[in-house]
Amino acid sequence: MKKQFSCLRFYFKTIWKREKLIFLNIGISVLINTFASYINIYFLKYLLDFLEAGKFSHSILWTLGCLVVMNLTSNISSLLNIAASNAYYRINTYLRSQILNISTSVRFEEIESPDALNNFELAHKCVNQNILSSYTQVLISIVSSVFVITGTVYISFGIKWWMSLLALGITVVNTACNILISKNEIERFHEETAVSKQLEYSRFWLTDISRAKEVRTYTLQRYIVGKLREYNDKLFASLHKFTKRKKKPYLIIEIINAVQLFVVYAFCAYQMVLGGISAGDFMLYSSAVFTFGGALNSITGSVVSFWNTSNLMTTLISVLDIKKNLEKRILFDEELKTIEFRSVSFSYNSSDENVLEDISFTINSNEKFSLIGENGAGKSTLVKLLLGMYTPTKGAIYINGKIMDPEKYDYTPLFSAVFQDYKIFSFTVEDNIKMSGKELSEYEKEKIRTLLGSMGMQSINTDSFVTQTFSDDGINFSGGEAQKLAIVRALYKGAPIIVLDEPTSALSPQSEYEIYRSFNSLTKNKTVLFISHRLSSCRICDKILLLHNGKLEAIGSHDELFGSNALYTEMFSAQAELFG
Amino acid sequence: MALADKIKKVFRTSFEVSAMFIQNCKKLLLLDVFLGISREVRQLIITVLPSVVIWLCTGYEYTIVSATIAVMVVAIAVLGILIENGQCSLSDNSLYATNTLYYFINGKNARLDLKDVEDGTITDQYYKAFDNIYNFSDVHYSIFCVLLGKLISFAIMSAFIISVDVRLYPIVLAENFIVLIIKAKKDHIDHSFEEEISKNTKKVKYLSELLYDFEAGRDLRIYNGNDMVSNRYMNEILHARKIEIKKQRKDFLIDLVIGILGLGQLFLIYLLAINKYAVGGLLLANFILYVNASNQIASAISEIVWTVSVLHTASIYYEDFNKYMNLKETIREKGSDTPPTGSSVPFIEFRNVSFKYPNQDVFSLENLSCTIEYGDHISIVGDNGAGKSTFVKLLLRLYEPTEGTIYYKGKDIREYDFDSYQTVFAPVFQDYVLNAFSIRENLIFDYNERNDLIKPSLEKTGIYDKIIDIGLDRPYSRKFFEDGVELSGGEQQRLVISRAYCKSSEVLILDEPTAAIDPLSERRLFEDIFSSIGESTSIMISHRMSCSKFSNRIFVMDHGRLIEQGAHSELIGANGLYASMYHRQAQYYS
Repeated sequence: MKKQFSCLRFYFKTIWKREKLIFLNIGISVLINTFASYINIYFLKYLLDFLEAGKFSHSILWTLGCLVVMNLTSNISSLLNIAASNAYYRINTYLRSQILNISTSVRFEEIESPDALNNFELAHKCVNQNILSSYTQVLISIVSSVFVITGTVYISFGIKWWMSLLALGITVVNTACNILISKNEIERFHEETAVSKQLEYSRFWLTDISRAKEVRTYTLQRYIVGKLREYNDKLFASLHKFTKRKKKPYLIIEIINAVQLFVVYAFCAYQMVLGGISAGDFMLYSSAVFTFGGALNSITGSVVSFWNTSNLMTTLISVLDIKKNLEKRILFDEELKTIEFRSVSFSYNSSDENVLEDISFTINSNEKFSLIGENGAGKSTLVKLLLGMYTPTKGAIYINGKIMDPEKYDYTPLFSAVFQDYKIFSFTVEDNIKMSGKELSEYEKEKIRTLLGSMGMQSINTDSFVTQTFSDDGINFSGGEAQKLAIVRALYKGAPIIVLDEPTSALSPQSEYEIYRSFNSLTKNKTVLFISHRLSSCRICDKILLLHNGKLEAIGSHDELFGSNALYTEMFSAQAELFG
Repeated sequence: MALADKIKKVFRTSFEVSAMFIQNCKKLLLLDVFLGISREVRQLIITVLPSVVIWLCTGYEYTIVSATIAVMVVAIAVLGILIENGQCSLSDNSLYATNTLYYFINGKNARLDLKDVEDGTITDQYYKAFDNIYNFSDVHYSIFCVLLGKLISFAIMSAFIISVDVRLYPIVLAENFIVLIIKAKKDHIDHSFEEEISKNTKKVKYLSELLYDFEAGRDLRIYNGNDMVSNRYMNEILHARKIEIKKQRKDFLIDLVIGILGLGQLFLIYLLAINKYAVGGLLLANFILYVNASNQIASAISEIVWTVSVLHTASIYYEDFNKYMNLKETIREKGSDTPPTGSSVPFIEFRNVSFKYPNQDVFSLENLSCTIEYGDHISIVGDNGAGKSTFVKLLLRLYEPTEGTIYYKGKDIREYDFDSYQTVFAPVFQDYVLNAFSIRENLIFDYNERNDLIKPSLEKTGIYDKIIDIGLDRPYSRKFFEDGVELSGGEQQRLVISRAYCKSSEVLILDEPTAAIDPLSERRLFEDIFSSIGESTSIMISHRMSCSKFSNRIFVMDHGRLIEQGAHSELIGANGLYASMYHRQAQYYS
C-alpha cells in the first residue's frame, strides 16, 4: 500500500514539475468520455421512440445531432491523446536520459552485477512501457466511470434495483479472474524478459561489427542461427506454459458474462411481453446495464493494472533516487600529496579467495610507478581500488593521510586513465578528448592540438566524427590511432594522477619509442601508475611495484630489484634476452 | 488500371509473406481461418440478438422468447471460449514465427561481404529491415483471419440487406473507395518518414547501448562524460520525435477527413432506414436489425479496405526486408573448389596486389608481391597504418583486392569455396571478442568434433589448469550470468589463441597476440608457436620486435608497401627501417 502511495506521489510530482497541462487534459477527457457514454446509451432509445410515435423529422434531426456529437467527441479525444502523448514523450525522454546518466555515473560496485544491471533495465522498461501515461489513463477511466455509474444506476433503477447488484456481482467475479490473468501475465513477462535478454544478446552479438571477421573466418553462420533457434524454442516453451494457465479464468469470464447477457435480455423481454416497456426502453435498459457493468470493470481493471505496475515503477523511483546520493558527494579538490595503501585486501565475492592480500605501499605526488606482475596477479583490481570503483574488503586507502571514502567524496578530479580496454566513442574527436558538451576556448583548443601533435596526429581534424554512426563521413581509427587518442584524452584532463594500463599495446615501435622518449615531459608534475607487460616501461619509471599472486612481492627501482629479486630478474631477462 | 495492378501486386507480395510464415509454423493457417470464421459468426449472433428478442416479444410466448435467448447466449459463450483459446495459441505461434525471421536476417548479415557490413548505408538498410519486421509479421493474420472473416460477414449481412434495400451499396462503396485512395497516399508519406527515422534509430541505439557497456562506463566515470552522453541521447530522441510530430499532424488531418466521410455514410444509412420505416416497409424490430446490419456491412467493407491498406504498408516494408535479404554476397558467391590438403610447393603468393578501402583515395596496400612457403613463420612489422592488418584481411578473403591476385596452392583464392577456404586459416584478431556463452562454446562454438582438441589447445597457451579450475561449462562474463566468469585481459587473449588452436588449421594468424600477456607466459607461448617451424605455418603481426626474432622471415611494411624482407640477422645487417625499429626497443633492455 505504501509502495502504491509513493508511486502516485511520484506520478503527481513529476507531472506537476514537468507538464502541468496534463491535468487540464485529464479534466476535459473525463467530461468527454462521460458525455459520449450517455449519448451512446440514449441514441437508440429516442430514435426508436420517435419512430414509434411517427415523428420522422424529429428522428432524422436526432440522428444527425447524435452522429455529429459522437464524431466531435472522438476527434477531440484523439487531439487530447496526441497532446498527452507528446507531453509524455518529453517526460519519458527526460527520464531515459536520467537513467543513462545515472547508470554511467554510479559507482562500479553498484552496477557490475546482473542484479543491479537488471534494475536499470527494469527502470528503462518502465519508461518504455509508458507507465506514467498509463497512470493518466487509469485516472481518466476511474473518474469517468464513476460518473457513468451514477447515471446508469439511476436508469437501471427504473426497472429493478437488483439489476445493478447483478452487474456488481459479475464485476467482482470478472475482477478476480482478471487479477489471476494479470498475475500470470506478470510472471510470463518476467520469464519472457529473461529469455528475451539472451535472444536479444544473440541478435546483437551477430550484428556487432567487431565480431564480423570472426563470424566469417570461423564459419559461424550455422552456430549463430542455431543459437537464435535455441533461445526462440526456449521462449516458446515458456510462453506456452503461461498460455495454458490463463485458459481457466477466461472460461469463467465467458460463462459469467453469458449469464449476465441472458439475465438482462430475459428480464427486459419479460417486461416487454408484459407490455410494460417500449422497444426504445428495451434498448435503453439493456444498454444501461451493460454500460454500468463495463464501467465497473474498467474501474477494477484500472486499479489492478495500477497495482501491478507499481513494482516496476518503484524500481524506476529507486534508480532515480540514486542521483540524489550521487549529487550529495563532495568533489575532492585538495592538492595531492600522498596515496597510501594500508594492509589492503580484496575479494569480489565474500566467498571467493582474495584477489589482493595485505597490500601496503605509499606513492608520493609526482612519483612515477610501474606496476607489473603476471596475468591474474591482481594489477587491474589494484587499479580499480585506487580509482574508487571498489572498496577494499579489509584495510583502507589513504589520500593525503585521510581515509578514502567514495560514498562521501567524488574523487574523479584526481584521476585520469587509459584503460586497457579504453573506449573511443562515436562522437567527434574533440568530444572524445574533452568528454563534455561545453564549448572550448581558443586556449583549450590549442592545448588539444598540441597534445595531438605530440602524438603525431596533428593532421587529424578535431571536428570529424569517429565511425559513421553519427555522420556519414566519420572516420575509422586504427587500433594505434585510437589508443593515441585515449592517451591524449588522459593528458588533456590534467588530473594529478594518471593511470596507464598497457597504453602502448597497439602502438608501433616507432610511436611507442616517441612516447617513451617524451614520457617525462608529457607527465611533468603528475603522479603516474604505469602498467605494462613490456618491462621496458620499468626503465622510464622511478619505482616498480611487483605483484605476485595477489601479494606485493617487491617494491623499488629497477636497479634495486634487478639481480636482487628473483622474479623480477627472471621476467626482465625473459624479454631482454630476446633483444640480446 | 494502375490501382488494380497495385492491389494485385500487394496481394501477390502478401501471399508470399504469408507462405513464408506458414512454412515456419504450419498451425498458423488453421488458427487464422478458424478465428476469422468463428469471430464473425459470434458477432453475427450478438448483432441480431436484441432485434430477435424484440421481434419475438411482439408475438410469441415468453417461454419461447427465453429459450431462444438461452440458445443464442450459450452459442456466444461457447464461441467466445474457443476464440479465446485460439487467440492465445495464435499469438504464441505468431511470435515464434516472427522470431524465425530474425534468424534469416541475422544469418544474412553473417554472410554478407565484410565491406558491406562495415558500410554505413548497408547498416542502415539492415536496421530498417530489422526494426520493421513486425510491420509485416501479421500479414497471414490479415489475409486469412481478418479478410476472410469480413468477406463472410459481408456476404451474410448482404443477403439480408439486399432483401430490404440495395441503395445502401453505392453509398458504402463510394465512401470506401475515397478512403482507400487517401490511405494509399498516406502510406507513402509514412514510408518516407521511416527513412528519416531509421537514420536516427542507429544513433539512439548506439547511445542507449552505452548503458550496458562496462568499458565505456569506466571511461565515462573517470572523465565525467555522463552528462555529455545523456544530453546527446536526449537530443537525439527529441529529434526523432520532431519527425514523428510532423507525421502525427498529417495523420490527424487524414483521420479527420476519413471520420467525416464515415459520419456522412452513417447518416445516409440511418436516413434510408428511417425512410423505409416511414413508408411502412419495416417492423420496428427489423429497423434495429437493418441499422445494425448496415453498420456491419459498412464496417466489413471499411475493414476490408483497411486491411488492404495494411497489406500495402506491409508489402512496402517487406520489400525493404527482401532487398536486404537479396543483397549480393559477392565474395561468397565466387568459387566452389575445395582446397587441396597436404603440402604443396607453391603455398601462398601475393602477385601485384593493391587494395583501397571503399571511399578512400589512398591505397592501403600498393602493388605488393610476396610468397609464403609451407612451414614459414612470418612476422609482419611496420608502423600503424602501414597495411599489416589489411594484408591479413585480404589473405583471409574478407576483402577482395582492388588489383592483383592472391594464390593459395597455385590457384586464385577466388576459385575456392569461401567456407572451405576458411578452414585453412585460424586467425586471432587484435580486437578479439569473447561471447557471453560457456567457455567451451567460446573455444569450439558448435563444432563438437573439436572437443578433444580443447585440452591440448589450452595447454599450449598455459591456461588449462586455470580453465579446468573454473569449469569449461561456466558461462563467460558476470554481465549476463550471476555465476559468470570474469577473465583478465591476458587470460582472455590466451583463451582466444586456444580457440585458434582448436580450429587445427594449416595457417595460424596472430594479429598483435600478446599485448596483454605477461613476459613469462609470452615467452612460453612464442617458443611453442615457433618450435614448429617447418611443420606448420604462422603469420604474426606484432609491435614487439623481440618476437620477430623467432620467425624465419620478416616482412617490413611501410605505407602499404613491402619494403624489406628476410631473416632477423639479414635485416639487422641491412641496417634499414627494421634495424632502427629494433634498436629503439632494445635500448630499454640493455
